[in-house]
Amino acid sequence: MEREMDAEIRFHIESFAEDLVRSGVPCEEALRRARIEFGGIERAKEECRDARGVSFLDSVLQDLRFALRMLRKNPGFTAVGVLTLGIGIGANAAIFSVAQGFLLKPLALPQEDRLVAVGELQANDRNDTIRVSPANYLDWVSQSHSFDHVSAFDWGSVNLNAGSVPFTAQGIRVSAGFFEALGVKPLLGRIFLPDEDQPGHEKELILTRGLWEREFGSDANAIGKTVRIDGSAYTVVGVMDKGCKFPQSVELWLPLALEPQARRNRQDRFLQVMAHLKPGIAREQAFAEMKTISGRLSRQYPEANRNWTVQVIPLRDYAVFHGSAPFMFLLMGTAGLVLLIACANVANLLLARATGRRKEIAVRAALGAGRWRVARQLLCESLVLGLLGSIVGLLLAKWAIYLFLANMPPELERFVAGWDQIRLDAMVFLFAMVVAATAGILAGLAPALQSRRPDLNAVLKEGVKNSSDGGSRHRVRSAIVVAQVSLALILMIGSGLMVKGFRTLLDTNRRFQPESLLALRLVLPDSPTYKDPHRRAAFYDQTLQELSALPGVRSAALVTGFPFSGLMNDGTFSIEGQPVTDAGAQRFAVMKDISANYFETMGVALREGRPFNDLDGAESRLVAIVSERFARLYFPSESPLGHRIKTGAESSSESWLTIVGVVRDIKYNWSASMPEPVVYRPYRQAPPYYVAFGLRTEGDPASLVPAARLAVTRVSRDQPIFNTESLDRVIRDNTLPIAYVAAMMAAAGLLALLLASIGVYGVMAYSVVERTHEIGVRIVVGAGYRDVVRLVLRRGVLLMVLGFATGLPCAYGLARLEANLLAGISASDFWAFSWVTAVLAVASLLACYIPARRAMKVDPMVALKYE
Amino acid sequence: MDKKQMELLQGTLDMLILKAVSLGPLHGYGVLLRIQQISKDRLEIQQGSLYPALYRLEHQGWITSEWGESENKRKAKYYRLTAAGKRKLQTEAEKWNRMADVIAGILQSTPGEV
Repeated sequence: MEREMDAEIRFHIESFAEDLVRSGVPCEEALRRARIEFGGIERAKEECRDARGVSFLDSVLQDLRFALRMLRKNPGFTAVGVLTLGIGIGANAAIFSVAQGFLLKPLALPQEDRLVAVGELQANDRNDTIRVSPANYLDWVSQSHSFDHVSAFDWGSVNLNAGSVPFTAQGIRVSAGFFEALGVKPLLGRIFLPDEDQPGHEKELILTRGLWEREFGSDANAIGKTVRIDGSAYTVVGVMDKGCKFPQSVELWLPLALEPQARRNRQDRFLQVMAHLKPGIAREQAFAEMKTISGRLSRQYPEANRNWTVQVIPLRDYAVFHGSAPFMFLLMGTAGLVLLIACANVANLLLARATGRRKEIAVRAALGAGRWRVARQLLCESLVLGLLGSIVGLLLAKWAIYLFLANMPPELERFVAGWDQIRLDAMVFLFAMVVAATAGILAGLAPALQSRRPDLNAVLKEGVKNSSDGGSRHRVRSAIVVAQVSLALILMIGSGLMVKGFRTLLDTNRRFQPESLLALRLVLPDSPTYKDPHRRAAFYDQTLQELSALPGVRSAALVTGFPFSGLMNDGTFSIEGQPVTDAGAQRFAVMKDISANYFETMGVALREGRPFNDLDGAESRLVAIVSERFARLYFPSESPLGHRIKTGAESSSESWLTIVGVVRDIKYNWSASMPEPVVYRPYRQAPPYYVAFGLRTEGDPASLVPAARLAVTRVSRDQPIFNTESLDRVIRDNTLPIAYVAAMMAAAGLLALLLASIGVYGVMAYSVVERTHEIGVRIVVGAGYRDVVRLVLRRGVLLMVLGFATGLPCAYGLARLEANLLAGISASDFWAFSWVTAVLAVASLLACYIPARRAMKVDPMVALKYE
Repeated sequence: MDKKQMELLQGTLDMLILKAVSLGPLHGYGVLLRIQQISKDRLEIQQGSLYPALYRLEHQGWITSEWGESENKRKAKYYRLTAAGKRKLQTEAEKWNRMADVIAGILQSTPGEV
């Protein structure tokens, strides 16, 4: 640009000189005259530069340079601002990376977007795991055209013996096309062949990388090896890489070989279906087609399919633990509030500084800087603060993620969908940048807007520190503090309730004395031997005998799943003489098969009737014990004793059970808001495949694990046990997500408290400095120290009270939200609200009191000279 | 140069430049010559103020520039009127004419008319 300008002017002068030469002027003289006629070259060039205008980019760069210079000149201010914003940005980046792992890419499969889960659901089904019966599934496969691969799968724990110690592993039986649909290639060996889901060809298995490393020592020769699964010989044909972990928590895959009889089964919905959409087919199109097929099947087989519809959901939604999304949103909201409080602090800092810089800004305005230009300059400064804050924030986030990951017990890690996807990646980085820019603008908005209406004359005339102006400035700063206090209150109440809810969750189980109860799980193989219920009952009889005879064991009990162990055993049931009015409105209860001494071992009192005893065998009358809640729900005005119930629909072939007892409530599912209605049956009358044993021990439960394992093998040589932990550990492991949420909320609450206190302190301290002169005058005319302190505190308390007044209703709203998420939380928890409010009040008062004390010490002589 | 040159009225240089380049693309020196030629050397133009005016007009989008070869085979920057410049010139010329009429009317008025 400069060169062009030079060339242009040189051309002008030289052409002019040439013309002069042509009219007879001597050469050197011509050039001299040409220059003189042109006038001041440098001045012309300068005017040209001005005329061309400064480009937007140039002025932004100028703003940036200036901002950096200003920030460098005030290192203290810069450090506080960057750190404050950094904390806010870091909290957001960390939570975002966690949410991203859990919600956005829990599967990390190559073609996740094209994968869907398909399942049947009943009109008013409350059970949201979507399944289908085999016969319907086979019709889907043959009639649908939207998918290039459809595959059914079924869960099942298997007992595996690879040579040394038998163990129980989480197996998934999958039909042909499963791995093709997922679009994954094996690390070693091959995937199942197309005909391997036919009966007789299904004796093969594929290992996950984790199981291969743990149990096969990462041996490449594992391929082709024969192992025993539930008593039959299977051959290892492949190993999948780390990336392939579907369904979550799978350890090995087996072919799903449906027997001819099973293939005709239209009633029992136990298969889950996953499919890969054909290129160009949208999920909605596939859904429309499936609805047509499902409608046709309903008309064709009304007795099995009436009231059943179909749904097609993204596989990601199926994989995401459905309870985690609201908690993640809660945490993200929390992080957002922390950031807002941080922004408020920085805004206040900037406002305080803007007051000190009024003269500078007025001078700039007087020299012709437009108002927008000055505002932009200030915004630019806070934006730079935000971007510097993002560096600190990302470092903090990295540390927070490290803490987050490091605290998860390794044996649980593999059960958490998306756990291995939590990291700082490009998306998190981008998110942090956006958050930083937003934070910078938010923090700089108030000072920038204020700067747009300076009264030049007034400002330039008065001393910089004079406080004669500032009505509106004070109002803005006060409003910011009020907002800050109210946000902090909301956040602290939210986090306080969450922590309390988590404590309540753990405390409800104290009465079981979980520390001295060893829980161990066992799954009987689906083998011909155990098809016979008597054999299962006999196995449990013997095992209980062996276990209770162990030294150090006071008693041994059996139950199909301990409280909070993640085993649901939900089922429908009917009551004799109380038919359901609406066909869809089925009754649900938790079904537990137990040994007679279960209640005694758990320390749960019987309310009515009798406990089970050894006479309740397979041949005697079938009996049941129900929980208090069950009794209240279904027999509100009479005793349930003597009434008869059965599992399934009233028309089902199940036998009637007579209620013989009512027992105190036990809550089995930690996320339920109330203890569920429970039906207990004696295990001898309904022997299950999946059970848990509970050993009440004298010493440390963990020390008994080897003896217990040995005792079980004495009954059946190859029978493994798993999840051998104290009930206390079981409960802690299963409530770990809530522990995480509570810990993160607590951290956010503390940050909010800290930031808000700093905010209040900053504003109060500043107002004392501003009013030094006034305070000096008051002291001189006779104000006592008390009056001075009262003067300062009055404003602080007013702001605080305003903050509480606005914050409490919002906090109540948040509490209502949380109460829906977690059972232990009550929205009208008076004590929690009072405590948190008191803590914040004390902190804010302290933040006011320190500046007030300083005001008290004002020396009137100094104050009056203060100008 | 003629001694009877008139100083340019303030604010009229832009209009003259636009007029000059409206007759065909010109380099800066050419603009100067063209104005002198049309005015029969009766206007005095500060050569130094010509270029800031050109840059300003270009910044405002009335004229554009590009490098080309001059009649004496040298590289020179040529200015050309844009469509917007053409409209601008038109309105400026109308304004000027109206103003000149008004002023002439005032100056010609006799005591009887007032």
